[in-house]
Amino acid sequence: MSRLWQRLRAVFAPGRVAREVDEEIRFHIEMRIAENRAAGMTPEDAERDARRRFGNVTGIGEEARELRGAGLVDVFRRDLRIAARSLARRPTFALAAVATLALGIGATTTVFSVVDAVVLRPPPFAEPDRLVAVWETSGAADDVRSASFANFSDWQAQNRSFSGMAASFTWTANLTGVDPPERLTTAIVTGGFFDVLGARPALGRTLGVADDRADSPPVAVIGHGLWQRRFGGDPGVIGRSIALAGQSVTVVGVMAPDFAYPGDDIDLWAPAGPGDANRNGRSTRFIRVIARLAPGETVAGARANMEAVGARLAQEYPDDLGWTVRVSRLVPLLYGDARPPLLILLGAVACVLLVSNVNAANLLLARAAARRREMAIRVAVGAGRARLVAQSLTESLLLALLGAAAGTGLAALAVDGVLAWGPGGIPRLAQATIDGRVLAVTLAITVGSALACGLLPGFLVSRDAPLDALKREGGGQRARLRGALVVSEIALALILLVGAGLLMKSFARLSAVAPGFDTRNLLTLRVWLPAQKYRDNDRQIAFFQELERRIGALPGVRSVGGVQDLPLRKNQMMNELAIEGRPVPAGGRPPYAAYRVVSPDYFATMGIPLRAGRRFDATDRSGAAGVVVVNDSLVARYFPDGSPLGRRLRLGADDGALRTIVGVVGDVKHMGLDADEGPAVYQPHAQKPEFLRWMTLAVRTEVEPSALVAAVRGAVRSLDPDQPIFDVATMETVLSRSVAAPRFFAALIGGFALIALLLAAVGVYGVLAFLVTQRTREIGVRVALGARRMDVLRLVLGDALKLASLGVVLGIAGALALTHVLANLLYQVSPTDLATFAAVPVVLVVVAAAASVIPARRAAGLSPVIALYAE
Amino acid sequence: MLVLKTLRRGASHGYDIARWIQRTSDDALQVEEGSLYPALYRMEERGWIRSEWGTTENNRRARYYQLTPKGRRQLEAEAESWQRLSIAIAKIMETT
Repeated sequence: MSRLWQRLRAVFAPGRVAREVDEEIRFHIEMRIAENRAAGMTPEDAERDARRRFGNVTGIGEEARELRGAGLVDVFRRDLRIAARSLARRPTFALAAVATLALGIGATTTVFSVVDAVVLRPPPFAEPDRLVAVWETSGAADDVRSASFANFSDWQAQNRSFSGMAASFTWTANLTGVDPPERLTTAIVTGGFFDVLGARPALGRTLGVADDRADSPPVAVIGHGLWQRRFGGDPGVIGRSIALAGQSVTVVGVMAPDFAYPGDDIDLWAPAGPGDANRNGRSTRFIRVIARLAPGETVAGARANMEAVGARLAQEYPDDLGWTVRVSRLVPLLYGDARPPLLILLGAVACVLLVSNVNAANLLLARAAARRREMAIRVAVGAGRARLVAQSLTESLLLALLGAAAGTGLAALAVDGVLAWGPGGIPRLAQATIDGRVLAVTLAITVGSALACGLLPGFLVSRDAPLDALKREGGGQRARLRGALVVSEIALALILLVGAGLLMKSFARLSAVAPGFDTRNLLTLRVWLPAQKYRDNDRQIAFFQELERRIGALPGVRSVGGVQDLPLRKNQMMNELAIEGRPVPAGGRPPYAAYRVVSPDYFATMGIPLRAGRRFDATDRSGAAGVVVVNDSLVARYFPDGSPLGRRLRLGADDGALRTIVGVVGDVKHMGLDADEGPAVYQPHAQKPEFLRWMTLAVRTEVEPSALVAAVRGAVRSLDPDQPIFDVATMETVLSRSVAAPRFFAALIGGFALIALLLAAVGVYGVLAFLVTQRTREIGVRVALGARRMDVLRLVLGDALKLASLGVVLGIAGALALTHVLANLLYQVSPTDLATFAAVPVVLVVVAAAASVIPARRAAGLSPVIALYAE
Repeated sequence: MLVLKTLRRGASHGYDIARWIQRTSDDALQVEEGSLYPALYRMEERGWIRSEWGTTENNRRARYYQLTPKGRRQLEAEAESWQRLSIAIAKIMETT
């Protein structure tokens, strides 16, 4: 029988192999009994003699089975029993080690579940690598990635690179006929949309080219969230009619929960309909275009082809002059922004895991030191080294498994916490969950941790010369090793602390930025009028004027103002300007500014300061002379020479009327506290273009703003019971949400750094306590020779500081090498910020010193007599 | 080495080996018979012997062990070093 066969049998049929061994032993004993009987012994004597000659049947059987390989499982079980017993004997040690590992494994599991959901999981598209985004850029606003419908139609007709192209844009529609009416985020998509993405519905069908025809009945595909929220997940929703924007629409499909394109919060997909080819003109760029590469085509090839198509269109249409076409893979654009911070988080949590492993290894080493005699005796009586290592590994595996169980519990809580308090705007974050995939990684981490912290102590123990151990010598090497472990813990903790310090300083700087208006006692809400009901511009204007009047009359309300997009929501419209008397030089780009439509009381309500001229008032009616107000940045950019008041300009995508600048107001941080405000033009609401049917109202209150939500809702209902309001939030909340991502990030890294610091402190304490125990005799001699309390304290603290300073030096080197990855996440803080790099080592040294106080005091309190008799 | 030497006579089962060793060493080796089995398994692991199930004269199932070529070489090597050792001991005896 070949040996390989023997091994395989041992692995796959351990019972059979064990039985064969037993049979062989039984055969031997029975043969001896038979022979004894033949020699004339009584049956009892024959058996007794046979057993005596054979020896310890159980012991030999066990050894034999083990040699045959069949005993592996038994051995493991026995080791596990031994490990459990020995842990139960030292509950403090076990608890410390399990808690240490639980923190590391729990933190890693949490972060991995998020990274997995957001970055690693394949997107819900077929062959996502073949999908590209196509957009137009004039070089200024490249990150908008939009195109005009007219150009999209031409691209579709003229490209040679794509097997399909589709366009979509996000819109809004009011779901009525239900209580309360709800505003839905809607994606308007062209016929090829779902085909290009290769997305399949969870229920029913998706939309196709046929749905775009003029005579097609109105249909829609709904998102999983809306399906659950409004239809209770009822499969009978297919074929049902819903009232959408005053129109009856049939639901034909439901998408899976992970399908979220073109936005993360799409409630419903509706067909774009016919005749979109030329809608809104060539210069209105607001659709998102996707395409699937034709078989054999590359991204580079598609790029070259589309650039040529774009160049041809630019020659043909003046509106396209200065615009070039861009092609880039879709998936990195969708999830790419979330990637670097999450990978940094993963790196940070890996540091925490490492620190926790080092700490657990340190604890195990301490324990191994305490059991040296026991181990030495076992080696002396012939236990194999492999057996000792295996047993040490079993113990660390048991610890790691307990830690993993606790850590997974922690992670489940933490993932819930991340979902509840995590920042919005991270695609797919809501799908973060602890599932089989994540658990598999957790298990791998657990086994890795067990190996990492069990191998070293096990190896050391097995290498120990039994005689030395018995004589309590040869501890120096081990002390050095434990010192090295503590140094690495301190270095890792320092790196994390520096990172956390930088992020927190950045967050503090960000929070201190003045937004340019008063955020206190301000309630905000949005209203979007349906086109069917409010087609007429005058009706729209009248609706908002009346609504502002009614809300303004509510008790507790000081004033009301409106704007289409509120500051800090990171959403704004841009418009081209033509300033009278300032022709655009040939080949140059026309001035560009943010475009905001506001009601007369907006500036006063928000507290945006007036710099010159006047605010809007009731005289700026529709039909009256066109006026605009501009901001500081626009004056600085386009009127650096003198007063802009009285100058006139035209707005792009407008009727071309000249509008007079009547006032200048201060800048606001519209696109976020960390973004600089650019030039902006304000237009009175009464002179707005017709398409702008939505407003965000800002209500300045004399009481707690959230107390007025019901009254404001009532005011809207009294005006139009079918009209929903949405995004109801106090301005403080809007402000807080706008910095949620950096705050979340700083808090998370800060938490990791604290864990690492705590573990490092435990490590320092452990190794010093060990050193003091080891040097008890030496300290006793010193005290006997006249050393004072202070001298002993200094001796021990000196050890602590030696470890701490070495760790600090290594940590600073590491931090200097690593913090540059944070550069993009820092606001007005350098990745090598001197104050942070100076303060963090002080913190670490103080913590290390504090952690060594207890062992140091114990050493100082040693009586020489006791110390010398300690052996 | 005694085991290997025993097996040079041909395949035998554990009990046979134990008895033969006892007999040839005039019962001088008072070792527990059971310790033979771990030794056998170790030698099989090293490839010196191999084993298979067979039937005894009385029709009982027993595991038979026999020398492999590798085991034979091992035996020769060990025997040689034994001889050298004996010669060395003999020489020492002579010189004293």
